[in-house]
Amino acid sequence: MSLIRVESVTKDFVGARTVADRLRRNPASLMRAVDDVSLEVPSGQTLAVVGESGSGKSTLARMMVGLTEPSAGSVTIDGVAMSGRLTPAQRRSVQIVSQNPWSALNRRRTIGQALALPLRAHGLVADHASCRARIAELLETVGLREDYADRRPADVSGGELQRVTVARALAVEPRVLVLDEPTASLDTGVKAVVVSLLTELKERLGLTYVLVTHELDVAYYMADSVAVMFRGRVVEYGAAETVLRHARHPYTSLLIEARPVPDPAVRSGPALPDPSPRRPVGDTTRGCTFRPRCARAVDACATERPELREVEAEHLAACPVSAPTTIRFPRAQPPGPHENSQCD
Amino acid sequence: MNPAVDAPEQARQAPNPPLLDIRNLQVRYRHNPDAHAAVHDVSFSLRRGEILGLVGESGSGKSTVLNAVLRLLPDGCRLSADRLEFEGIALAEQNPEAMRALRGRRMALVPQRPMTSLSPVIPLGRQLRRLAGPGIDDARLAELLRQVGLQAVAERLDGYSFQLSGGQLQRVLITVSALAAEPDLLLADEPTTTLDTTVQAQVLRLLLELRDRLGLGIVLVSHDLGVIAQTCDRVGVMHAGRIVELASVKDLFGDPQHPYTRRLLASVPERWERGRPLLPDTHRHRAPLRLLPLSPTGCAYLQRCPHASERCGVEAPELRPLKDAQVRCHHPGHAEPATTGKAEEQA
Repeated sequence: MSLIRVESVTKDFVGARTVADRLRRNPASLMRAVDDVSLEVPSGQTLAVVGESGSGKSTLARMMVGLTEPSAGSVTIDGVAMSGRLTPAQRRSVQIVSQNPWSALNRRRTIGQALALPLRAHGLVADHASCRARIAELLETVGLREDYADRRPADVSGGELQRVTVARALAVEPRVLVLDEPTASLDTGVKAVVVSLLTELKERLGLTYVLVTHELDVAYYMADSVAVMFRGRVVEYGAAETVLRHARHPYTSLLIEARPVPDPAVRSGPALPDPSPRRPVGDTTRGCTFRPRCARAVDACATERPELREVEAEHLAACPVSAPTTIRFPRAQPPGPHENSQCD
Repeated sequence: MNPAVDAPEQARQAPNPPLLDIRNLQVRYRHNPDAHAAVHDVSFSLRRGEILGLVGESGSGKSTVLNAVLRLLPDGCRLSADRLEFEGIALAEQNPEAMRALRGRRMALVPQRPMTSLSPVIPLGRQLRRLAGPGIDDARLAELLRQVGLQAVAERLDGYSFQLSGGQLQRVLITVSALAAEPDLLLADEPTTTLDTTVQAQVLRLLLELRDRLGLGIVLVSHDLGVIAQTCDRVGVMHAGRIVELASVKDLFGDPQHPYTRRLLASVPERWERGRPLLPDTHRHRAPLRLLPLSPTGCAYLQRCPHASERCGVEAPELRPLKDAQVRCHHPGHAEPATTGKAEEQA
């Protein structure tokens, strides 16, 4: 039984209307950010959602925590639909950690105040002393000393601040954490620390993760399953090992190949043509949205929109000409045993 | 993206004076007079047609070096250098007016965030003409943009910056600053950090193309070792304001000498192994080490170094030649100071 169920979720955003549009009574255009996405995450597992910016990853993440209402379809967590009016207890079951810890925290307030807010709002602490104790406990959970409670965001580093946002999300004891690019703004060394922490917390607290990221290596390390999104649609979905090491969709291969390899002896893949503009809702153009950038496109791609189908057991791809790739992933060799990969 | 092309190769072999020559650059920020220099004893030179990468964590002084070259450091910053020359022009002695004549014309900066570097209320064409300098009209601008495959932008010069994607804007800025004013030196400060990887590949390709076509010298600041490996000829690794290793990209990645370089290379996410802990047990789940105040006499990397010896605590290593590279370490290579004759294997 899956803890998180995303069923045919679609989200349309209303496009901007200029004054001229209003005067001419032009209807507002609709943009489809997420298009008919269905996913499942069993309890205790991690699903990574990967893709370029604008692919709808973050919108999907926001719908999972009930911050954005889906236009169609539903997100249920443990049988509770994450839309409409939710009770505080239902809201507590899922929390989000945002990409940029600097903008996620009020810089005028101390870290202790930031952590106290959800505790008080949900009535989880009786008095000042127990609040203080719970804050210390939360900080300890994410590997920070108790005295961090009196510091302000400007006094701590980016990696530490990201741990604070994780601690704040954990304050209400959620079962699910939606991590929206948790490591995007961090140095590689610090990245390793935050990823280690998240991995450990998941085991220790029995959490379920939805990891939204554009970093395939982070996804590969943390996730059990991976969904690749392109233009609001899931184009490939399956176990992390299968999707990233034996990608079937050309877009997945493209994402893997485009990353510059940290090894001058291996040349990165070719640069690609510009992405074609996003299509508005109701656009009846048929065919695959990835076709303009696809090297494998055949005639059928111009007329038929490929649906997600099973290409092998538990591996879905939305491409009629899917062929197993020969791209090496991860792109670099792991370090030798004598190399010290400790990071601080 | 293969950097090997004839023109820069010739430039590299010619005994010309370097395009950029820096010896013992020091930069101190005023608001923290007791602090150690933001940039300390940085020396490197750059030839025409060469791409030099500066890599390191945030706060290691990479961007400060670029700003020092452009003389764009904030007021009150103290800059000193034995030599800070661009084509024989001593940059530290130029008055503001002379610097303005150099900036944008002979040396250009590619900013980290193209979106915030352009005004959203002034039409793109007007801003780009100003950036390009006199003698460049819209037709010429459009032609330059078409040359690098930006037809879509060339047709929209009366539009605004927010109507373009980040990748398009970054390529527009690089193209206009590199092609219109035809500078000799391009300083790129994390030019692709905010871009998607697929778009990043396009921007890096454009940089290489312009280098090959114009023989530009490029200093590329990045914290991304993938970007460095795929574009640079030589790399300087920065730590605590110092260059700790300066080597060809092949040597640096193939045979790193400084312990910090080795750790940087080992920590890239591409090398993470699924199912294995990323950090040693002692390090996991602990607040990062606070660097103790640097001893004025010891090595700045002492606190984090697995090979530190007593000598490292009392004597700061100098940047010394080693093989074809330069390394700032008393115990370069894989040698453990405590053991002797230990088999040395390569990564």
